[in-house]
Amino acid sequence: MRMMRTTAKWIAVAAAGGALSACASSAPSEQLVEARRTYDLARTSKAAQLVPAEVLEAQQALERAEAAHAEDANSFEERSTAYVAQRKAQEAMVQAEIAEARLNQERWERQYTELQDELRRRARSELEQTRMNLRDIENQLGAVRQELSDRSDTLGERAQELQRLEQELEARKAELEQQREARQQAEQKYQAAMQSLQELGTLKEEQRGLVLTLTGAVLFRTAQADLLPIAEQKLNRVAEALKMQEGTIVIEGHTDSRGADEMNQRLSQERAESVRQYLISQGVDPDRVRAVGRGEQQPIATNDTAEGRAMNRRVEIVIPNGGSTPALEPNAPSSMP
Amino acid sequence: MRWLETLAVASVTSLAMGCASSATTPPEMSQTKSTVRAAEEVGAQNVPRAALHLKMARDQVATAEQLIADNEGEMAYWVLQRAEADAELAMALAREVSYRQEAMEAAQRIERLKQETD
Repeated sequence: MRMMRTTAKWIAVAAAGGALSACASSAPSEQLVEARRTYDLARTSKAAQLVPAEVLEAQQALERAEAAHAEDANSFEERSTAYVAQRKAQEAMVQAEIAEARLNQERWERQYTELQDELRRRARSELEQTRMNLRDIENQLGAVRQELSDRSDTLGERAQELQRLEQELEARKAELEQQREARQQAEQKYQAAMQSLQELGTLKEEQRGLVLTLTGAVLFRTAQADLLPIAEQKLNRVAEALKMQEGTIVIEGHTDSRGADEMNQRLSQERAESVRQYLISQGVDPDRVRAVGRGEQQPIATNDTAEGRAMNRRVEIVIPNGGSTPALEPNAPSSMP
Repeated sequence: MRWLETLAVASVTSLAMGCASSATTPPEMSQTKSTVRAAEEVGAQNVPRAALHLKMARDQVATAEQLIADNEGEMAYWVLQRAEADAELAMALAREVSYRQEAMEAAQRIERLKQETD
């Protein structure tokens, strides 16, 4: 606005009388017109804020041109100063662009630095976070390792325990096997013994128990109570068979009916005793064995025939029921007929 | 105006001394030539608008030299003023390009940094 006033002032002066100019022509030269126009542009552009000093210089240049115009319109001086003023106004706008570019550059360089710092901060923070995560994981790993180690120990103990139990099991099995074999062997031996007993004489299961009947002729000489040598062989086997069991044994001596009762009683008792003694001598437990004479009281056959009498002349070895005789336990009821 | 006064004094002095007035190179000549050189040094000839004004400055310097030789000192003075103004504008225009370039590079650096990290 100041410029407009200045221009107006000079135009007024020039118009008023042209006293300052001899050949006054108040029409501005085209350079002056151009200068004024360009100055207006500069004044209203960003140059006014950014480079006010440059705009002022342009203004002063224009004022010089206006003065030259007022003094000597359309002179070379006017046109030259106007030319200069126009260039000055242009330059002001160019300087404004430069100033703006420099401000932008500064701003962007600041932003760049800030962005770099921000990125560095972020990277450091991520690194720290990662470190913390790593520490957590390492701790967890340590705990897991510890647990693994504990479990491994437990596993080791259990394995040892298992091994021990397996060994025990094996030992028990072996024991059991041994027992079974032993029992089997005992059983076989017993069977063999029974077998041989059967071969020795008549083996019968009766109400009173197991009864082995041995013929008197095989054992004794007539009317004698001493055992025949061959009887001893038989009785050895009987002894072996009896030693396989436990329980009481009753040896009963029997005669036929010939002769006096008393005599027969005594003979049968002595014979029973002989057998008893022999069996004991072969290792049968004495406390188990009883010898009993029955005389002619219990015949098993008729005394009227020679065969019958021979049969009556016998020794019975009785293993009563209730004694432990494996595999030959009588199944018959215990009530007497 | 100053130059005119200086010339007047010189003329009077030379008249008083009885010599013919001789053409002297005004100090503005070396000033202007130096400005033209400065504009060349910042690469005005490579920027289109700047190159235009640089040429105008050079041409006007040549014209001024001729005018001085023809004893048209006053006119030469004004022509040199114009040349000086053109040379200064040429320099500013050349510098504008390089400052804009630097600003753009700064903007690009930020973009690259943002891209690298995203």
